[in-house]
Amino acid sequence: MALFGRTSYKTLTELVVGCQQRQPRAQRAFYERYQARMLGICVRYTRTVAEAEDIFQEAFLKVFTHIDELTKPESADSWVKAVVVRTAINYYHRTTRPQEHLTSYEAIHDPPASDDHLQLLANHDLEVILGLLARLPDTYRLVVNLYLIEGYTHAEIAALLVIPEATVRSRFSRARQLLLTFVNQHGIQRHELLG
Amino acid sequence: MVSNDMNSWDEDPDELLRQRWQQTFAEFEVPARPSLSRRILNTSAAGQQHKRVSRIVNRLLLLLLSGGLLYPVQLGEKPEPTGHYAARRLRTPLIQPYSRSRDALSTVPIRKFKPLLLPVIDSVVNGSVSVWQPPAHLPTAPVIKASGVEAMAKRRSPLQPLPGNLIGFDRRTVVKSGSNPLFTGRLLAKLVRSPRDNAPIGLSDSVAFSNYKQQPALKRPLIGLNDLPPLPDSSLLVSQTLSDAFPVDIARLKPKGIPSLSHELGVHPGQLPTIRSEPQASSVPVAVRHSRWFVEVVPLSYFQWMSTSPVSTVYLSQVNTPAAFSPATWGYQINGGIRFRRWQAHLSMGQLRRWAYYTVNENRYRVEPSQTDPHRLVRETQGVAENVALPMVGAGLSQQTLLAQDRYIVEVGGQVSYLPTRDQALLGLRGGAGRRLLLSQHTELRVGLTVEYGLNRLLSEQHHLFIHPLVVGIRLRIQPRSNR
Repeated sequence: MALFGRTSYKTLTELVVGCQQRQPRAQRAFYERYQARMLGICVRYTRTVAEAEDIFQEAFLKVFTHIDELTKPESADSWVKAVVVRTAINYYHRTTRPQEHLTSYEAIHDPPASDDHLQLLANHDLEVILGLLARLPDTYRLVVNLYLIEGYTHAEIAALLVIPEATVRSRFSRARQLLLTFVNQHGIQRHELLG
Repeated sequence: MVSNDMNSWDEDPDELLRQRWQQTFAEFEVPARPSLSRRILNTSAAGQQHKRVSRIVNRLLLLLLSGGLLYPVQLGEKPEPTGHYAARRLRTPLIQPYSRSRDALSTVPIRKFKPLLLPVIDSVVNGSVSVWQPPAHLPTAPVIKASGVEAMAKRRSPLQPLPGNLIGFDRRTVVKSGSNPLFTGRLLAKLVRSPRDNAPIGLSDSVAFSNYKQQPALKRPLIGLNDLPPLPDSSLLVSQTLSDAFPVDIARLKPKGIPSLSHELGVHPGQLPTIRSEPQASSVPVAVRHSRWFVEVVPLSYFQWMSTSPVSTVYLSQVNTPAAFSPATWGYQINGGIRFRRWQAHLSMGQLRRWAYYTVNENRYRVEPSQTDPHRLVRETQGVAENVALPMVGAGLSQQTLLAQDRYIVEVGGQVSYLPTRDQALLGLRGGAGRRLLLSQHTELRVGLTVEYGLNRLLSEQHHLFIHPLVVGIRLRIQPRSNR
């Protein structure tokens, strides 16, 4: 039994416990472990890097504040990610912009997107995809992230966003169309994607 | 065409799409800017501040405890009464005129002469000084007058007046019937001190004129103190032995620093006012024992030894506890009670923080293929971290003993605590030592270290562990001043 504290964190459990004990070194190590990945998640959910950093900071404050509630330290990875995702959702619940852009997108008469195109799109450069995601309306971007990347079902997304499941499906469908529209506008040819 | 029907068939084509997108973003990372990292870590300084506060509180308590131990305040000692002090000063030799021989007495050989300028000290009883008063039937006789010539004792005194305002002793030798000279300091001191001596000051009944032939007095002028060479001694009165070439004129000997007396020196001692020094109320500690209450606050830190339950169906590994005296182990306890002599009973309430983290290896297995073994069995494990604040209420009984002139306290007792959120009770033995400090005239502070060992064991939240608690705290108690 240590008398004056531990100085190293060999396991995730020790790291979590150190954070729960408000040890600054543990908090710093915990932050360094998750900061890059979590900020990447925030970037996917936002239009700008500034918004991403706001969500990121708010999420980590919640992590350090409520880390005492984490009873299973080995599940810290999923717990932190869940906190970040929920923080992003709450952020857009507070700052939901009027959906005036949706009408302009709905007016585009492009051929409907196919799953093959979206799969090919996924193999494209990350920066391009992120740029395309950022151009989506906030609500569409949320659904795409939650459905395609986080792996939630339509029903779970409906519960998270407190909207009907049909709305979730329609928004995802429209989001797919918009993504391909953006790809066409960027000049990415289908033959290149197929090649 | 994409269908928006709500059926499970729509999920299948999206599953492949989802996997592709998840693989794309699986390793997607964006490093945070240093300023952002700094901002986030500084905001989590709430924990650092908590630790800083804990450090400050710990240092203050340590400072208070060490200050109480290093700078003791004596409660049991009584100050000396002023009368006693005054009497003691008077016993110091004040005048020591010296004569070469006993026979040729040009001056009075006085060794320990109790000055007649001050009231005769009869005795010192209970801090009061009383002046000896001879019986009323004795003829009053002036002792010394500041001016004029008076006999020291008219009844038997051989003194003769001298010209001028001098009082001296002529050359007639007055010899006591015994072997001692007349005015030896020892004799005079004895005469002065003895309350049972009925003779006036200066003579005893055994003193009588001798038949010795008077010898002519030496024609040496009597001198006063001012004519003497300066003496290095800075005592109240001249205390250095004087040469026989400079006989001392008692009349001209004046005390340097003694304030003027309120009564005349020519007054008979029997008429002198009695000097009584009343003990100061503030110099004697007053013990007020009308209140028996006490209140104490005890910041705690929690040690624990853990052992596994012998009947557990799982085995535990990596059982750890947080470091002792870390902020996560701090709790507190507030006690209030009453005292009766050396016994005291109290009720308590507080909060105990319990920590335990360990890995539980369950009796379940899963198949996890590896490169060498496609059917490798892996035991299911889970990590458990218990970090709970346990409120507690309790009662206790203990006995205190004061040591080292009531400055230090030793306490031994017991306490029963109940943890309502866990429905567990803890029976513990208490012991401690501390220091008494005065806060005011009626209130005292007791600071000390306390240790409590749990006689029974507590169970962890999932009942996997037995916890043997050892609680260490610093006790701060306030109570009315008492001798117990």
